[in-house]
Amino acid sequence: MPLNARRSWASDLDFEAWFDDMRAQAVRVARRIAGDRADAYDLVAEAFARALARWDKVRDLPYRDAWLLRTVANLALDAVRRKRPRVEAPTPVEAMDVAALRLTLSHALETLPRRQREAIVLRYLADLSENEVAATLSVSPGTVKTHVKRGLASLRGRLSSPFEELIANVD
Amino acid sequence: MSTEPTRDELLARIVAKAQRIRRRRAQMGAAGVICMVAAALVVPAWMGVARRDHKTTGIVANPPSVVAPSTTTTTMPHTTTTAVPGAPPRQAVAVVNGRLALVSTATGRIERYITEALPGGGASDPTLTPDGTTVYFSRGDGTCAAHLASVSLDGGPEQIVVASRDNSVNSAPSLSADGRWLTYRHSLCNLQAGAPGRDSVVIRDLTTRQERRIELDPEQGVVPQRALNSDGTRVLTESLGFFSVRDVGSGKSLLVVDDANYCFRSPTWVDDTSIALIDTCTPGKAALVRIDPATGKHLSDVPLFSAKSSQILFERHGQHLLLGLTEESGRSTYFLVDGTRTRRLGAFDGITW
Repeated sequence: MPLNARRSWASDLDFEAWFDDMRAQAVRVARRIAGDRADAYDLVAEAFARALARWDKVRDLPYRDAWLLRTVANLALDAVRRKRPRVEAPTPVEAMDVAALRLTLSHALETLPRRQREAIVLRYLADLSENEVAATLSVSPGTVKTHVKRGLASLRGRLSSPFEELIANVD
Repeated sequence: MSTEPTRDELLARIVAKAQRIRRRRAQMGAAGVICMVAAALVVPAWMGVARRDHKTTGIVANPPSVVAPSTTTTTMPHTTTTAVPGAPPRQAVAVVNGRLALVSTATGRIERYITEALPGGGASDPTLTPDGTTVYFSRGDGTCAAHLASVSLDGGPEQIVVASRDNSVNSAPSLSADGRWLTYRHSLCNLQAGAPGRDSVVIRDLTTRQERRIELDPEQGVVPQRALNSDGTRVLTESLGFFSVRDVGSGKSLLVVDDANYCFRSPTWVDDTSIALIDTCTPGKAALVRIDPATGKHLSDVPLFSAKSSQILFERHGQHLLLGLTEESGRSTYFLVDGTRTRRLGAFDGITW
């Protein structure tokens, strides 16, 4: 059922255009964290739906794109935690099994303070620039650098290889 | 197995979900939606009110002077933190590395710890009983599980108040001023975020142990630290984009305050006639705003000295304020606002008094 059928409710074409612009990137972020393709689309649908439900407000947010990606990332982290059995403190990653790696990374991210986790997720999973992350989180680029630096340092103690290298293996 | 939806299928799913979210919001039965952003454009007209408010309650100086914590060591009795009316409480309970500690509000120093560091999860979300003798808090039980416990400020073992059942996280306890009602957030980890029934606010009668459950909005619904009014008949809940005052008996929203730009923080009861929150809608600025919980009418608006202001907590008499500023480390630095003086207490993971 196309959105046109709901035009009176959905109010305008802006949402569809934005959806077309952001869909692929949102699915990519969801897949990098949650893995499963069907799950990824569910998460993306949920995030877009939250935006559409209050589109009159979300439409004009200066950091709308990043808001969406952050919502997708948060939903995906939640989904991973919900679906997987509890894993104790991640052990050094030896097998490059992607599912296990994804699980390990998501658990490691969960241990970070919220701001550090959001900065790293937006920077490395959503591939936003430091300036874009700063705009999303309403902080300065310098603060983003600090969050990312501290977050990566903290993750380094929990992972066998640098986070930046491991994340490249879950595409 | 191909599960990838087409563009139109995905759009249809989004529209259906969005309609569901809107329906749920409508079902909350708001008595009225108050657009505070529009009202915020009339700040000059309120400044007189703000000054009167400052004179009569002495909440926040404009601008307040930040006074460094005293280095004087003072021995404090630690059986109670109850304030003498007119004076701020002598102690607060802070979260320090997963442990609860008594902190002197005069010096900001930790006087002693009242909980131990236990495997499985730290203590968080402390809240004091009205008589100031006991603290309720949330303790983690591993991944995605947490129970509520209480402990006397005099020491002794922790008592489990609400066990973690069914893989649930129980957090954000809050007590009514009469001490009879406990409210907390209950989250089921086996349900996806946004799923109906995943997050709810529970109101428990501590005398009969009967509970009433109100489902929270799926959009990141939370329960503030001071969520109940004095007799436990109204509960304050916060969600992405709005917060609401609900009737505990029916669960219906009596007031919904729309946060169109996601810039309101830390709504909290001051007393039964006012709710306070931090307004950060103006870039680089923050203000303490009071509204009427029945009508949403704006009562006063006072500038805060830092745009990083993120948390407010009035003591039980509503005369003194703890103000939290979120720092880059993720911790918060807390200040005690006492009349025209603002004193830095220290950096903690949470605090109550």
